[in-house]
Amino acid sequence: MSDEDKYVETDLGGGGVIVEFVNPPPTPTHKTKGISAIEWRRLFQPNEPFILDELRANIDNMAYEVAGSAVSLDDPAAAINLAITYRQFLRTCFEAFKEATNGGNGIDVEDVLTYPSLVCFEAFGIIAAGRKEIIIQGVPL
Amino acid sequence: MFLRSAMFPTAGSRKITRALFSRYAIASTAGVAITSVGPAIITLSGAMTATTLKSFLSVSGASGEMTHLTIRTADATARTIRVVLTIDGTAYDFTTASISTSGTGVLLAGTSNITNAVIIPSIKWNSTFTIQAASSVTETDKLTIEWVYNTEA
Repeated sequence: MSDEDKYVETDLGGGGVIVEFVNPPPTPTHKTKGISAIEWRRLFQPNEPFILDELRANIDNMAYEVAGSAVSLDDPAAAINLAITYRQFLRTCFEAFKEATNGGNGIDVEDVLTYPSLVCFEAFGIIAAGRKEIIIQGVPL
Repeated sequence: MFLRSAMFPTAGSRKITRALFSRYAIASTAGVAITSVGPAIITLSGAMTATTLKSFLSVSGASGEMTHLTIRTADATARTIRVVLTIDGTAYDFTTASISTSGTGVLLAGTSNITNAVIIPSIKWNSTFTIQAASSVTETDKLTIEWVYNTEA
């Protein structure tokens, strides 16, 4: 890790910011990059990966909706402030995750698609409120 | 006339540190043997280029108080340590004499296990505070910085 990467910025809110040189950097507690498909599944609660499997398999089925969800896949993706539909966004996410876990470098929790995808899963009621903050930490080491 | 406001500064106008006076925080100080204190956050200096200041802490947009701050050497190579503390835009800048003893440096706030020690007053700022330091030689991880501080809303 270069010295440039050892500067840690903390937003204090209200315009306050701390930039601290942290050396040596703290020992990582979670794997955040290169997450395999099975490791990704294990970050979810027992039923959730199967609901996501069904959603992924039906992402191009225009008649399909997530069971019990008040949000439609064809609604604008308001939860992530996009004008495209949830279906369009999640299709891209599923493709990206598939590529990452099939010969790619694995899922990266800091990727621009990862957190918004969890926001969508929460909007559809697939994962419980608050779970995305735990999932986005990555795989415990 | 005694003004109550002189005794109780209003929010956002707290008294801030304007100068540091101690044997261990003045130009050409020989420094003092410093031992870690338990609560301090400890940072090694990383890669440093001779005489080039490096930033170790920058606080902006928040008042605060640093109750403990030391910078010390990690080996016996002869070097000077330049310290620049900038408190709400005012720089406090000094350079030590050559120090060639490991674990020796400057005590800017708080205390260490020095014989007959007193607690050096904390460093207070209103909005911005930065800590920069430079070594007189190019080296890696040969300075140890320790601090304890709080920021305030």
